[in-house]
Amino acid sequence: MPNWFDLETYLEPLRLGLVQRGLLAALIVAIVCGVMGAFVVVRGLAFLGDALGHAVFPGVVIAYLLNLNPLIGGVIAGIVTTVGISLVARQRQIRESTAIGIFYTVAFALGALLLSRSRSASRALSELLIGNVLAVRPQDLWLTMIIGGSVLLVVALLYKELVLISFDPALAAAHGRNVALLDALLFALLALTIVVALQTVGNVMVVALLVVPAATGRLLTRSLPPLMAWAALIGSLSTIVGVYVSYYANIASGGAIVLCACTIFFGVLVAKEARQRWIARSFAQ
Amino acid sequence: MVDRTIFPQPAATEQSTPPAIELLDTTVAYGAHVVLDHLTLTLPSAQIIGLIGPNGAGKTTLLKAIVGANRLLSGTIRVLGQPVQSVRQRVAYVPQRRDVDWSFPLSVLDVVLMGRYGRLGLWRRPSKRDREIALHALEQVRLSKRRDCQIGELSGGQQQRVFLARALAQEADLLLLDEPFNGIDTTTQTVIFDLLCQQRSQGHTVLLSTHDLHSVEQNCDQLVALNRRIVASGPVDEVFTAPVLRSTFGSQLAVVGDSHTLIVNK
Repeated sequence: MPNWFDLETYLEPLRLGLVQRGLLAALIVAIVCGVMGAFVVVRGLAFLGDALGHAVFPGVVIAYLLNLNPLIGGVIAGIVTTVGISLVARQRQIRESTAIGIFYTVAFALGALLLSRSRSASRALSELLIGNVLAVRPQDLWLTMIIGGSVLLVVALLYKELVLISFDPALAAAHGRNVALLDALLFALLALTIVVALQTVGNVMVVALLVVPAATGRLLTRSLPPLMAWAALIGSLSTIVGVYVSYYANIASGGAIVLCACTIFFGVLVAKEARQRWIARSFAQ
Repeated sequence: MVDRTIFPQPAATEQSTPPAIELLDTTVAYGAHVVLDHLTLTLPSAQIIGLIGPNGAGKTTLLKAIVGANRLLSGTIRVLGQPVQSVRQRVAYVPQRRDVDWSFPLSVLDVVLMGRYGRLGLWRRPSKRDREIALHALEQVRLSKRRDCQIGELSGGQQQRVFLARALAQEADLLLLDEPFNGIDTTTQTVIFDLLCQQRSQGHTVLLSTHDLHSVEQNCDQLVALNRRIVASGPVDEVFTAPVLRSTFGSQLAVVGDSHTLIVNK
């Protein structure tokens, strides 16, 4: 067991290139997930997030089989799925959640099919499922920076439009905005976010990194920009703790990050409940 | 065509004012389901016009078609004498209050500022002047003090006034309001009608849909009775009659005695 009160415990891993890269990549992922998670939480898109996490699967496998970077395959699969969901959901008889349910299972089945043809790709599968912060290669870090930076840039530039279509699509349409196109853009940004998060938390837990810090932020503030800031901060903090724990205890980083974020969420939830009861009681007296 | 010479000549400015809304043979359908069936309608400007009809009559669809949010299966719509695409900023649309999620983390001022977004376009952010206009609109609906509140903390009536303030902030010539009186207090109703009368006196046109036949009769200049087709359209005293109301609302309405006693079964 390392001595947690010794500064050296915290500095030692940072001298390793793989820890530096992993931590940096995971922090970028935490910030991007915090910002996009705010949209996921206020619009109730958790199911879409979960589905996209699975839908990128065939892209990752194909990229692996073709010896390409799995991130690129994931991005393509994620965007194809997003477009497919939007097109099918335009038919009024099919709810969006149904379209999502169809597409992500189809994509996942396709991935499983491809994987069964190649034994060597199963290592890719295990990394896809649970992620590994300490396996981030230099080229992965570059891609994470470019994709993550692009997502943040687009959100910053189109912030007011993304909020408008999320809150009041009817007004957005009256202002002449192409709501379907802006919605598709938001979903594509979500797909990109999920793909960059695959390496650090894996596709099963990515939805937790999107939802949990943003849900905690929602408990702490009533305005969207601070909600994003809180979510990014909580995600980053969980990431730092998760990376150290996984380094010393040799456990999966994704699990450590998500459990840490969940601990913060429940801590805030309990504190808020207690505070509300205390206020209610002092009013009653 | 009406022979213009037999009418007193209108003043030059009035002559150039086109009708607020003109529908010509307009049909709107969702899939195979026709909601608005070949509507032809002309609505004058500088009036408060009530749009009445039972549930499913197509009131919301008509308002959305006027702002260009619904594709037309047939016909044309002209707004302020032009296709709506070229006058979007001059048309303010107020959706039904229940259509949005009021727990959304936005402040009252954030929502009112959205009225300015049409002018700002995709990339620009609200300026200081946009904020001033939004704050003035909030003053008009008497909600200045609540500008920093989260919108979910407001009462239903206050929320409706926030929506109206957003439309006022757009500085439009035509206001379209969908069910603005659903579930609100009488204070709000008075505030809203006062502001709508003020809009009319500035030459702006108001078209509002409602179930509340009583307030419509008292406060509107014109009425449109809609039930998938135009049942009647014109000055209130011509439209607000037992036969018209009966054929608009059908079994949902019972007219007792004269046309002043109505029972609407929503």
